[in-house]
Amino acid sequence: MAAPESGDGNNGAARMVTLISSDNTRFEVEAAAASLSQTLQLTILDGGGGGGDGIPLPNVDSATLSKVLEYCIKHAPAAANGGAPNATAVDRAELERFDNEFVNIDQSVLYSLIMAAHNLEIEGLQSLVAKKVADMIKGKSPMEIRRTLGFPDPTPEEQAEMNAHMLEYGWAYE
Amino acid sequence: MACSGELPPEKRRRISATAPHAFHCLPCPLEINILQSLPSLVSLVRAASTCRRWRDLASDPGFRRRFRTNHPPPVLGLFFSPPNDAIPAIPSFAPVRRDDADLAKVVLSGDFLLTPLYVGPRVAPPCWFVADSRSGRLLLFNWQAMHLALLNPLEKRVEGYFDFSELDLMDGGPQDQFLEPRLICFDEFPSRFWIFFLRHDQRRVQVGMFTDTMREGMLLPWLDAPERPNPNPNEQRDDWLEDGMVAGVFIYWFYKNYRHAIILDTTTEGLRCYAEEVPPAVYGEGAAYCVLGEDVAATEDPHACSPRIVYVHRNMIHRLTGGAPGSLAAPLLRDVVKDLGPDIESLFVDLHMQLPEVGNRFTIFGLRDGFVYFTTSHPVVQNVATWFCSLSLETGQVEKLLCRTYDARFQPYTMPWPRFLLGDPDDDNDSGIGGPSDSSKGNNERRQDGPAFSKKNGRSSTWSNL
Repeated sequence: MAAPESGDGNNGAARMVTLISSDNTRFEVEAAAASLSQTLQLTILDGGGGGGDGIPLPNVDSATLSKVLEYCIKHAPAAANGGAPNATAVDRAELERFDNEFVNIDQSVLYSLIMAAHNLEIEGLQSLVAKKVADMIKGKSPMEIRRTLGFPDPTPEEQAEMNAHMLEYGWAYE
Repeated sequence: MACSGELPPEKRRRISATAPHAFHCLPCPLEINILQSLPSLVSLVRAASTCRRWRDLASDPGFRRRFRTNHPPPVLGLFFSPPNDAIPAIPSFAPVRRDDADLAKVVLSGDFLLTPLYVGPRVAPPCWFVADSRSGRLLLFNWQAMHLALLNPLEKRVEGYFDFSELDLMDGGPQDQFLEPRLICFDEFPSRFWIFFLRHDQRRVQVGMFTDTMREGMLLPWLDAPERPNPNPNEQRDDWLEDGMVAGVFIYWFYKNYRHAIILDTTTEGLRCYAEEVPPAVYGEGAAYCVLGEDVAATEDPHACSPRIVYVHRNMIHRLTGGAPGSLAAPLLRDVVKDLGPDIESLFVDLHMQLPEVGNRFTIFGLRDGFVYFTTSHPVVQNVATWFCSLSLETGQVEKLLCRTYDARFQPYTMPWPRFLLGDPDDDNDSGIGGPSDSSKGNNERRQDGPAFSKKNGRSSTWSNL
């Protein structure tokens, strides 16, 4: 399987690393992009992941990994600029547009993405997906939130607790 | 982190059999991120009501600190007093952000009509004036009947009525003046409160107080005021002090000429009241007035709070920071927060009114939790459409709260941190009913509990107990 297209290489011969998903698909990606992951960064700094070795990621399947790398490749140039104080408004708007589009996805994909962002410790992606979930539940009542996120039905104890709480914070349940 | 990041695989499988996307068993840091990303306190209350786990996460003090830094407490509305304190009337509530359905629900859940003042203990005449509002409490005074009332309109609680006739005020004279009482209380200690008032004659001041454990009230000794400005011969009453301003656990009463201030330090055992010279920086630059209050940080560590002073010079909002806690004398740093000129111009365009001369364009009313409240007219100019606005010291953002006439004094009412998200409820239950046993507690512990002099006791009645 072909590696996802990398962004504009800055100095022609950017260092590449190989990541191996849980279902054994190999992804070749620029080290700078993969380093957005705190987990991978150390391995890469130690010189790992190059050549035929590859870094195995047993917790991330190929569909999720390709999505994660899409994010990393897009955000790597801005991250390389150190938070990009000199980024233009256009660049920032473009990233924002990309982010909004990026999380406009099915809930099961979103869930895998949340777990991957957590396991790989990609800070920007973690806040992006957290924000997405927050957007999904804002303005909703507790029962609607449970339904939206697929929580199991409340146990009798939970229900009793909610009923008691409802007496005082009834507005929160409307 | 208290909870583990990963669930055992067998458990995850079991859950995913019933719910394909197991959002309810995410690793703890992710759930915290989600709750922190919610847009408002109201959304957080809803989310925290969905399950025990989220409620526990949102009840953590560290979580609260971070959430409040990013989400200042929402203003629910303004309480307007009657035009003067001899009119037998009750303050009225004007909600803000009426298009916000969430906030409307919160307001409708409370009793913002202040019903207890009508049906509660008969205090006649019912001339109630709003004095202060903090942490969901509303402090009212009635100088005609010499009573105070402390209500919590949002939680429909009557914290208490306080009767001055129980105090021994005989050592004063007929010319004694009472200034508006002030309230000190914090979201973290929802059953505690400290009400302070100041009376003065021509040369002395005296502080008195009512607290949750000292409901019959108490008076401090008289204090001779230094260099009292000459009384104005034209004024019948001897009126030389401004109303008090609260910053953290300190209260400041400025002289009308702003050269001195009476300061009350409520952190020390037995209270400390003293006069201090006001450095020229505070009243300099021809500022007509200044307000004093606290930033957001004050709610986290009120004891370490040095006052933030904000004043207006032309259209510029200036801020003085630094200094030791409770002192005006220590070095103060000055910075310009914002040029309000453009905002004020657009506010007057909104009102279809001509922009007045420089100097009369707006009035700052107060500084609370990092927000400056200001209006586009002065209370003496009645029957003029006026914008009531807030300015965030942090972001410089101006929010238009509401538009009406400014014919009476007002107090902003903000939504406090909900009780059920305060964690450790034992701390605030009526577990430690007053009593001498409390005096054996370590000093450290008491400092944590707000002002140090009083003992723990949580007595208050709900609306239905009336």
